[in-house]
Amino acid sequence: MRSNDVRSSDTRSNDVILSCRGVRKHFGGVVAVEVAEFDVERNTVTALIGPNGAGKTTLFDLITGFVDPDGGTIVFEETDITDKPAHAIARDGLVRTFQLTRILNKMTVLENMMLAARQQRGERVQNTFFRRRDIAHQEAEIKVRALALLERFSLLPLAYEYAGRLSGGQKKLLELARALMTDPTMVLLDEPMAGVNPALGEQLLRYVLELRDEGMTFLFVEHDMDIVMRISDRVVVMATGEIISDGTADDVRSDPAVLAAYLGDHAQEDIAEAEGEQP
Amino acid sequence: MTIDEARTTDTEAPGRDSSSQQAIGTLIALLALLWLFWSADFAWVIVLGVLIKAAVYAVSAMSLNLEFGYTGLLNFGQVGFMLVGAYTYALLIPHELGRAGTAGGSWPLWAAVIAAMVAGVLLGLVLGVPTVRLRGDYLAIVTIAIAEILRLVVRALPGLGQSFGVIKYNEPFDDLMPGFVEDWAQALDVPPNQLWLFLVAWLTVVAVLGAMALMIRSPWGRVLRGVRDDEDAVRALGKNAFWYKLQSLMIGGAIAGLAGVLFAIDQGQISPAKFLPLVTFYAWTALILGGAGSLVGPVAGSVIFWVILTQTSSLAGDLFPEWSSTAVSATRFILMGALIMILMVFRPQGLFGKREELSLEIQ
Repeated sequence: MRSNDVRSSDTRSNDVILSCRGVRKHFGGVVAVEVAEFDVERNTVTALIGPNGAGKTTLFDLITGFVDPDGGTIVFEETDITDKPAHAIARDGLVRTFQLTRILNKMTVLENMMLAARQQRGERVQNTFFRRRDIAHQEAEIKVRALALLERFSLLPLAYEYAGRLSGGQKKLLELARALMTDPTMVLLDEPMAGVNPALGEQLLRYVLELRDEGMTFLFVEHDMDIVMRISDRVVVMATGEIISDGTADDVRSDPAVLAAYLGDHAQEDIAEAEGEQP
Repeated sequence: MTIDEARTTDTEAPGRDSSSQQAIGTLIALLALLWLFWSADFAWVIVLGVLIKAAVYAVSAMSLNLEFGYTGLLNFGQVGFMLVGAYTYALLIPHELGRAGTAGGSWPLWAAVIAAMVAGVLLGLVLGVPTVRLRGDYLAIVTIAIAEILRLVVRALPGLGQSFGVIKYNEPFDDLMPGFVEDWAQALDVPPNQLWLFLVAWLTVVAVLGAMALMIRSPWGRVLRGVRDDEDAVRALGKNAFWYKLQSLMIGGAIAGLAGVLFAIDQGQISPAKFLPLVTFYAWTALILGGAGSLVGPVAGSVIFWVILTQTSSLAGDLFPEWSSTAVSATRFILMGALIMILMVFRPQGLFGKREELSLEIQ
């Protein structure tokens, strides 16, 4: 962990990959998100935490284009993506997973993976008639890449199963592996560890850190404070739609505002649990 | 499984060739065909007549299969697409129109067929852009309404023949008949133009089936199936789900336009009364019988549907000779309904569908 800390302080060179300014979303009279300023630096793992209903998932939806903001701007890699549709944002290299996994149940695990590859010539319907050899060639390449990723996530034996047959934890893994098939520059993970068995989760965390070291950026929502504290370069805390604290894991843990947010809600248990798990 | 084993395994989905299911489906389709030949008043004219209808509805059901079976779009306005195809074709080639029988149309047949398919594409586009974003059941309601609107508009417009419709447009088609067909027709004791239509209709079925296979078993088809399962997941992976749904509706529209052309040729004359919602439901029944989301399902389903529909009427007539013909022809729909109910209980995936996929729907 020490080496990670050193590394993250090295890379914290103010190279902002994602930046939100004044991003607002109201649902009726309820303020879901009201974020004045929020940046994510390239090549880091940033955790987004907060009590239930803090607006974390809505912020994800706003960033990835699944929900349109009422105001503000979102910039990803110097491009304004505020009004871009979800698929265009994903194509720009900003890819997300979902809190409730969205697996294509009636397709095989391998098909789920292969679907995600970008710039497939066979995705144009006219090519399915006239460029069949080209497509077959590209399919073979994509398949090799997909299988290698599946092996890394211990899903290889299930490659030809219907994805709908997978357990909840396996679906979480498949969703992350599938997101990586798109060659993203930044990945947003919504509770990636929920339901994943601890041994496999450990492996997944190591993999996330490896990918970060290779240059990928992660922003993730997670309720398991142990994981948050261990792998995050930076922790951002949200409550009632706003960002109330931002810093290293240690900074945030000792921030009175964070304690108040958790204790003020009905989430005392959360913080107690988190504290209890910290040695 | 090692990577090398996995690499050499075929990419296709499990159960695609679950042979026992396919065998049962094929067996039932063959039995249905046999039933067609086994009847007291057997004649090739009747057999060809049934099989031509089966071909028309097979093409129509394949179009629905692309939209529903592979993309998850509920199109309950299929007859509207067929109407547009049929009218485009009939009005462009030489024909007679309306009560006065005004002659018109000068396009060559091939161009009129292409125009009919383009008309289907355009209807898919016009109908899709505002509605494809809607949830499935809303799309179903909109499409059923559009089909009815189209039928009523055609009935109202003098330029489209109103309720008298379009007649005498089959000459260009009959003129294309090659000589050998006449010899064959003589041997079977059927009208040559009927045999000619039979051949063309089934060639069309084979061609559409081939095109469907190419499209569905490609990365394009994979995206469609992804959209069917969960379009948000597909969007999150950088695919424009909206555009794929639109493409499905447009290509489905082209195939339905083609079905409309065959329908027009088979009917010999078209009028709004021939394009009732019933046509849509026949096509859907064929699709459900055969199995949505399987390539040959709609074709087999259509054959079985038409064999049962025609053969049961003679069956009921034989069993209850004292019944009126109205009662007898109503009986076949009762039988058809019962058959579908039995099928839905014991084989909800249809004859060629994959049961596993159905079980995965309920999460």
